[in-house]
Amino acid sequence: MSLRILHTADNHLGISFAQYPDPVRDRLLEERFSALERLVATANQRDAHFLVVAGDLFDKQTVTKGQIERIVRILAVFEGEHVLVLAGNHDYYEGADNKLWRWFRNACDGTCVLPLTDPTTKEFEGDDFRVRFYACPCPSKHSKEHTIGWVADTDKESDVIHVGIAHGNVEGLGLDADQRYFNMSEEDMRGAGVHTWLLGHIHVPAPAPGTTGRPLYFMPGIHTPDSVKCSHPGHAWWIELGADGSCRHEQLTSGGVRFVRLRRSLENSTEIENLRVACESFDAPNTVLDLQLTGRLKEEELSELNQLLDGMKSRFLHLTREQDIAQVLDAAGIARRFPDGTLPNKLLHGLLADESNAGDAHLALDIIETLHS
Amino acid sequence: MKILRIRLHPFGGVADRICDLHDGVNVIEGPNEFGKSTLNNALWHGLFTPTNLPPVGLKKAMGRWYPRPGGDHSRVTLEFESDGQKWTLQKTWGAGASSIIQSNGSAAIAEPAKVQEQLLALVHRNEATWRHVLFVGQAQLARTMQELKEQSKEIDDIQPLIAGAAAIPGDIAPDKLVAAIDERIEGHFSRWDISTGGPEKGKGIDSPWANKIGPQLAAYYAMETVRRELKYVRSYEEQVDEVNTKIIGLQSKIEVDRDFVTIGRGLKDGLASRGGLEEKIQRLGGEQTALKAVLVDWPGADKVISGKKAELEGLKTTLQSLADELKSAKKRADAEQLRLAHGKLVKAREAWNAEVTKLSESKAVSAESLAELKRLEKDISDFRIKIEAQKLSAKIESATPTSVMIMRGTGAPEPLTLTAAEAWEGQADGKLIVELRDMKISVESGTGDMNALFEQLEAASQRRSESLEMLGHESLSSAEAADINHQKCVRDEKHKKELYTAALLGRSEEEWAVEIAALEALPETRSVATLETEQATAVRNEAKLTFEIQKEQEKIINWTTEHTDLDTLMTKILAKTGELNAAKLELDGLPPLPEGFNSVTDYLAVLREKEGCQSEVEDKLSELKIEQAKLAGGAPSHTAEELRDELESKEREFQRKQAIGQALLRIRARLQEVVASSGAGDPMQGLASTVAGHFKNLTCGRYDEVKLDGATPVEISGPLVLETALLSQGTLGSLALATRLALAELYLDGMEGFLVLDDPFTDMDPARRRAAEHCLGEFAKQRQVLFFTCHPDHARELQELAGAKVPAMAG
Repeated sequence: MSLRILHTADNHLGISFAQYPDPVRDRLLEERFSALERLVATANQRDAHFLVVAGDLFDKQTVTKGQIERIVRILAVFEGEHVLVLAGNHDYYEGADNKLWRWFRNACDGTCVLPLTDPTTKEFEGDDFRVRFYACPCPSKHSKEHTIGWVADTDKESDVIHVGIAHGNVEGLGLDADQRYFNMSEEDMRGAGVHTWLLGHIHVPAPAPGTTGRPLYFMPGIHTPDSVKCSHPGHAWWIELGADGSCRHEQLTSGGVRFVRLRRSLENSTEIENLRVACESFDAPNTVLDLQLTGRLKEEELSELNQLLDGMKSRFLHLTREQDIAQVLDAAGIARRFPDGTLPNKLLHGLLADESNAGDAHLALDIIETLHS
Repeated sequence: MKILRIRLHPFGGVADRICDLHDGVNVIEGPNEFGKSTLNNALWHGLFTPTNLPPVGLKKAMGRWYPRPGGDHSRVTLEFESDGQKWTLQKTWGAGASSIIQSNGSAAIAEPAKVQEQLLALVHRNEATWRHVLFVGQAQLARTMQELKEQSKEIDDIQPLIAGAAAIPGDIAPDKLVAAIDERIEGHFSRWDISTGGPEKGKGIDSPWANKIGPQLAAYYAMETVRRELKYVRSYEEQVDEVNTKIIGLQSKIEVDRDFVTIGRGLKDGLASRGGLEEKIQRLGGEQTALKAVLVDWPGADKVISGKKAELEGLKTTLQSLADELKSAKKRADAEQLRLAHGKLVKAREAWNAEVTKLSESKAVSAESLAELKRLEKDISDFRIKIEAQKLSAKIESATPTSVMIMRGTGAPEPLTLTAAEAWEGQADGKLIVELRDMKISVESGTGDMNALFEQLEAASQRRSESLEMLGHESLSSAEAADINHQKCVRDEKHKKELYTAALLGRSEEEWAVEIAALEALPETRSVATLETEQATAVRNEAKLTFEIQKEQEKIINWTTEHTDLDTLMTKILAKTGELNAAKLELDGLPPLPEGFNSVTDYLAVLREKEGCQSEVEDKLSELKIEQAKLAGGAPSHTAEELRDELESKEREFQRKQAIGQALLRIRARLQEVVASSGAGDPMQGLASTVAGHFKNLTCGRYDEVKLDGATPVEISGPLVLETALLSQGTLGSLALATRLALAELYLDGMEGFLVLDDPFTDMDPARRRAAEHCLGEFAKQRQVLFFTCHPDHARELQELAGAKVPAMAG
């Protein structure tokens, strides 16, 4: 038997999704709660001892009381020892007057949910394990200094499993050029003398799939995607730690929606068809699709593309597109529209000669056609 | 190109129909739904619609021409003649799509793009020319008339229809296109300063333009608004961070001393009393100790004074003996100096005596003797030089062994043995004498008196030997060295004598002897320094003892004054002890002093300091919490992360708008080039007169002139002069047809081709119609015309007046 932990982080509950229309926003907001419910259910099915949220459970300090209470109701369903919720940099804790954590703490009263807002240790004993968690919460949104330094100075008993919980960037894993996000090095973590670290902050999971042994740290990534920048389906870690230092871990998939940004350069019907095939491979009702299309298409191809996209729009949870496609206007196209010797004919041929600005002819055509309409 | 046959199989509602066409005017007459439009479209699509369109384009272009219901394809076969060659074209759209074209005897082309390419070469003009000029639908003709009527006051629109190149349907007047592009540019860049690449007058989002904002500026404002919001949010987050960091710092500070201050506040009163009692106990204890010391000291005080006085007496004796010894010691110190000076005197005397001895031993050489010796030395040298200058060479030989003596110059005689085998050869200075037994041979140089020279040399040498002997020296140099040595001895003796005189220090040798003898009588002592140190210590001890004796005496006086006697003192001590015990008892009942402090005073001082700091920190903390609350109240609705994403999107949008703006500027520049390059060589320029000619025919000669103001038609002339704005519907129809015929002539000039007309005479009165039919008959002498009409009388008249034929239809 060993210590069993379900590790999640960066849930960002209360994120606004303000750029989306109401029904989409409501669905995305709801998904964050649903994904958390799924994680708690998984933790219960697998008989986890602890559910650890390594920071940024909340997206901001101004999450409503109603949302906080709902989150606690979800977490309180956990049947293991405790849900440990660390203050991250979005939901930082600077002191007792912090309204977010005061409300959260009040809501947690009498439940298994334990807020970790102070740098402290929490020790628990099970039938066959003793574990000490080292909570390293964030006291602000940004900081050049990480918060794990004190852990190294703490005496550590040999028959206890020591687990650090922290939130911040890991050098070499995430981008933090200005070192504003509690930047930690592997050396810092190794020097702390714990068995492993449960981290949050970076929305991409670590370690890489296939890693064996006991990793220095775990980064679960966001539990369900929140923007097109998140290319994975949302993850959490299942971790089993033995008193002998052994470790078995498994990446869980927890997200129920996908955000996909497709960048395509379209030059012909085949590529439109490829785009269609790519789009049809997605779980459209649960996918926010952002198309960034460039290229050059003939009039009928452009029409085909528009028809395709119009047809897809209702199928996807949300579809946006930034389209920078020049309509190909070749000599034949001009010949179809404008008799020889006419001014539009001459102008468009002249513009076609400038190959570096292929879209100019189409723009000119657009103006010419407004005069004809 | 001339169309010979059109076959629809199927196409639209026609399952299979063949239409064989003639030269000249082909009139296809029938009521509505007869299939005229279908035939017209079959011809058009056969020529210009490829069969390999993408699905969407195909459906849009050809969908309506699939047989209903359930048809999945349409097909047209055309036979035509071009440049004297017959061609067959077949196109199928939809299921089984294909294109194939073949001329008599040549290979078929079946690749759709190549088929289309071949067709375009055969039709000579582009698709648009055919669409707008040569396929004249009823609607197009009506539109031409409508434009002439409705826009007759807009010179720019009427002008091109009548005046030239821009009369072609689909063309646009340069001014109009320039204006449209300018308008688009103006709209796009409205309130945007292209030269600075920013809003006009630098009106950014802080003082934005309120209206007439073009797309570029709108995108810029949108982008900058998000950027500003992001900047604000970041700044807000930094402020929150800063305030929180300060709050955390202050809270930690308070936390450090929180317990100390809390406990201290509870102890403060009790500890304040303890402080007073502790001070009192300390004072009473001190007083009790002092009294007890008096009790101990007072009885022995007289004894102490006696002892010190005895000690003082002994010390004075010691001081006296030290003074005597010091006096002798100082004398001995002076005598030592005298001994040292006398020693120096003795050494000086001995050195002087040594020099005197040396001087007496050295001999002086008189200056005259030295001069004489030097002169003789020179004479001898001169004589020798002269003799050596008279050198003789001699050779002596003997037949038998013989011994001889030879003398060379002034040299000594030399024995010489001669043999028959060995002769003697040599040289001699001035003279050579050879003695052989009794015989003496003298040989002298013959250049002077060698004998006299030898005698003078001999005399000078003799005289020098005598002088040296007299002086006692062997040579002149020896005499000179002796003289130099003597001079040095004289100088040394004088110097040593002066040193000796100085060492006497003004005394005589006798006086020195008396003083030295007196020194031997002085007694032995320690050194002056030792004695002086010992004397100083004794003096200090004497002063100290004197002072101590005085103090002891003063103490007795004070004790007596203060305490009267020992009994009274004892009573006082007992009273003080009682008071002290009572204070200690009271102290035991008070809270204890926390660890780490020596006194209540120290503790209370630290407590006060910490309380002061706490209060100060709490005040600051309150201020910060107010600031924090204010910040929380003004929290932005979006996070920096959300805004960063939005800004990226707005930046992309702005870049797109910039690209469009640049494209518009390029289009305008290109248009200006195109317009500038058009001009006198324009092939369309003759169109105006052609239009006027057709217009005259179509109006039965009623109007024979179109008056232009510059390039602008302002009136037509005939029996009446009418402004173009006042033309009737029928006249406008004639003008439109005249324009169409003129254009067709222009585009088909010098080549085969056909013109499709769809009921063009509908609005004409019978007279004008007949004129038009005549006119069309003339036109059709050179070109094929496909005339569609639903008016039987029009068809009949065309056959009568224009020689039109009805195509044979099958199926």
